[in-house]
Amino acid sequence: MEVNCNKEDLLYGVQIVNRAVSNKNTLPVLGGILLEAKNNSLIFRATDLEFAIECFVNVDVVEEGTVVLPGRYFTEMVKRLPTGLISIKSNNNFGAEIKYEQSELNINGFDPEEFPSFPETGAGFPGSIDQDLFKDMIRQVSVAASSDETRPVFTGILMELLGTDVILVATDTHRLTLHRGIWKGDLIEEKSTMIIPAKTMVEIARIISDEPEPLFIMPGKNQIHFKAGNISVISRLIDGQYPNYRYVIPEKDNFKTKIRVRTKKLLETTERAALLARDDTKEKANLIRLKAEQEQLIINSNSPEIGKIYEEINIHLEGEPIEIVFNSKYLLDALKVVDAEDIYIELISALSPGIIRNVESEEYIYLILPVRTV
Amino acid sequence: MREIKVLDPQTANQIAAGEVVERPVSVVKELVENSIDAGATRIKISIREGGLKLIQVGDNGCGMTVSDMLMAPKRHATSKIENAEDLNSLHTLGFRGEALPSIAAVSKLSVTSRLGESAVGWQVVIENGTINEPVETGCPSGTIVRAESLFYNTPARKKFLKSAATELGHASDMIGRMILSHPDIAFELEHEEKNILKSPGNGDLAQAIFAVYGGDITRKMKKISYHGEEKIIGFVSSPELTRSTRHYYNFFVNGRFVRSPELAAILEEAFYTRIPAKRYPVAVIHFTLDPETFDVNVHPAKLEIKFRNLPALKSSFIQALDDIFRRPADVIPGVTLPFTAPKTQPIQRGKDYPDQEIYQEKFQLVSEEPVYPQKMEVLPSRESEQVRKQEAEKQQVFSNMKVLGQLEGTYILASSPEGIYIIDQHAAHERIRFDKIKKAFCAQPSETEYLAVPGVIELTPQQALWLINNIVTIKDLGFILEHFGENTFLLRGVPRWNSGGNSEELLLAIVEKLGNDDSEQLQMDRLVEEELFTMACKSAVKANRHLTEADIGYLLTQLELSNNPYSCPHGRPVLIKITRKEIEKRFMRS
Repeated sequence: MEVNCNKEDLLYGVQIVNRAVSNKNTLPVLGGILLEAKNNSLIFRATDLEFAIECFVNVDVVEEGTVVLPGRYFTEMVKRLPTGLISIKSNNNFGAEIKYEQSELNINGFDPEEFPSFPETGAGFPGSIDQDLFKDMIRQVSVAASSDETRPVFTGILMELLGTDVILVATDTHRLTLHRGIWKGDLIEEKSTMIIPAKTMVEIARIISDEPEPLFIMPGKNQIHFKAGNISVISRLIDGQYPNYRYVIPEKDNFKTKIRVRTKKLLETTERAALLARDDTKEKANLIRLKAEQEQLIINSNSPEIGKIYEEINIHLEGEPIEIVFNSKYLLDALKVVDAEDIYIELISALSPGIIRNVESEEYIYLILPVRTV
Repeated sequence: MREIKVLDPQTANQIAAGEVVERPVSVVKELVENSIDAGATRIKISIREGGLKLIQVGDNGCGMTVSDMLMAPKRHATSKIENAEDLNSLHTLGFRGEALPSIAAVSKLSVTSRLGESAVGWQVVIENGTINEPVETGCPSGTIVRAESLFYNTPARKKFLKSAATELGHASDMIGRMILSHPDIAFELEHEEKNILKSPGNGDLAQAIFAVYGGDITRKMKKISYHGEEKIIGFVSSPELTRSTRHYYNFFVNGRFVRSPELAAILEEAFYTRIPAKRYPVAVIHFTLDPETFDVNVHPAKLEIKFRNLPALKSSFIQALDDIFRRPADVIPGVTLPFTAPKTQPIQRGKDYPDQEIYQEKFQLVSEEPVYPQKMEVLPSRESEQVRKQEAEKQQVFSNMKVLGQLEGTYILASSPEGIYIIDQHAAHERIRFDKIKKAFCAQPSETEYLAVPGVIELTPQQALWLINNIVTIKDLGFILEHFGENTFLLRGVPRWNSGGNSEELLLAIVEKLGNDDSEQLQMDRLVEEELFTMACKSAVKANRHLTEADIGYLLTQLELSNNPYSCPHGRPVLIKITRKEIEKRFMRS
């Protein structure tokens, strides 16, 4: 293999796939990045067997071929190379000769035959979703995914496709997030659901574009393939039964209290209150008490060892006054990702689930559960 | 030079007996195996003085005819095989025809038996090698074998036996294995008329495991099964449950317990790196193999086994074991705990007995006695004379102390008219922190975090009953449960202090605890003790930190206020005392 390319293209490719490089040294070859020169493009590929990322850039291919170079060293090296033309040429020992300016660098690699092949997936759904939208959806939904590996389904994000809907759901059983996006193209006739590891989804959100460019989705039996321009991500799916989220979300008519509040104001207050609610015995679950009456939201938190805090925020209250206690972490997460000037907090009672959402849309909801204090 | 003589039968039998009957447990084993071979479904074993005074095994098996009863105590008399060929297709546990004669040679043996269909039973007594005339007697159908005064005629053997408790430990261990090997037989083991082990005998292996190992272990066992040439069925602990010895390996080949380094190696290979080094899983596995594929006739004790085709067996076994790791989040399917669960935990390996003796012996050798020689934990809630007395002592201990200094940045040295105290500064501070944290924790009511997605908890009927009986306690702890039909419950809320942990598992453990021990008052701080310990430990001053006089003064005043200043939350001593008397003794002043 021999290619000539410039530093920017090389760095771009390497940084896109770098996150899929395995840092656990079980199978040494998985610590590598595969570079394949073919038809005037250079393909980059890495996988840790959980998910795989592939991307390509156009370069001048002198000789087609493949090398696998150690991911970490190669990435760090590329970052430090001088700007300009770089030539990469494979040698006989699975390594590569990298030439830049008047210098030359030799780096040892792995046998490309050992590198896992990119799994095949079936035909995609007809149509696509906008990348910028999907990115926001993942960011807003993934906060609620669990990191507890003993219950694998909750470490994933549920994706449901039907008609023109793309729904993402995540829950760690304490809260639940849901975002409904729009599928562009033909209607999806048959409902398709799959659980994708949240970790992979976060990576996808990282590498896809901030523009409304199309993202194609191709489901496989145990895998799913996302394609965004010159980038492909393939992820394993989580096997299991996802709980029926529809039962969990209260009907609209049930809400008795609707609080409209400035997100930034509530976020700042909650951050102060949460700080104070942290002491030895409460470290894991800082409680914060909200009391809405008339046009005031009173926020209370206290710790016998540290002190107590009392704040008031102006709100617009519709419905009945209420007093409710939340775990401040769950409230903070919601306020951080909701992306809205103003939010609605919709509540039923002090001991029932509530919903936090943007006042302007109902596409994204954050279901939060209260804490019962005696 | 002496003449060569043929030994008389009695002596010959005694020598041969030594091979089969090593200690009381061997007798129990031979008799129980006979009962099993006789098709018994209930076997009751009664032992006195660890088996030296009495071993009695009664069963409801097929019984024996009078002529059989007279034949049985003779050497190599067996009903189980007829010729050498049969050795290759053994289906019975015993076959050598050595058991009864060997036992008869070293004890006073009586056999009482009644055939199912006959109206009366017969009793035969064998003493000093002579078989007495059978006597007609009334008895239940089945066979009762009584071996009294074991080793009365071989004092040398008797001398090498360990204490009654050790011998009982061996016996209960052995019966435990019998229960696991024959879940279809109801076993009962009594020592001095006290129930030690009892199995339901309904054929359910999980219940047999429960009977032997209790609920904690049973719950963490995972079912394995493989059906091919070889049939492999059993339970193996998930990696979270390990033991420090291989003692919990129970391999049964066609119902016979075997010690097999080969099988152990395969099991360990499957668990390699999944559990810490030098830790071993708990395993109860039944192999059903073609009798032609293995040989058990290697040792009279019949524990060793040779496989003719180990690689084939290995691949099947590994496949069976793979299942455990493939479903990491699964709980055991279908483990049911019996209604007749023993209230008392079975005695484990009988090691409690000798340990106690050794412990006491050791204790007397220790001259720097800790301040609290008897009880490590003094429970503040228990209002008793002892506590009040210790309270009074404690008052004196700390206020009378004069600080001498700090030793190696780790210990505080202090003196009082009674002697010298050495205080572990970390342990002391840990105790103070723990008391404080615990107090703060207990002061908070049990808050509940509601779940967006309720957990479904399926219980056994027994567990469900326990849960319903204790629903108020469980609610007080911070759980919100909803009855969801039959024995299924919906977990709608979990205690806030455990919101990061696995609440379903915690609930199961609590239910189990409440069910198994009525007397224990479950307290929240007990359940989260470990967590509180860690908090206390992390915030306490470490060793190798120099303390100022003010620091030490603060520690001592705070200790004074503690309910239990003598031990840190982990149970290690906070301080030790070298008495004046001891010091005087060392300086040989009288």
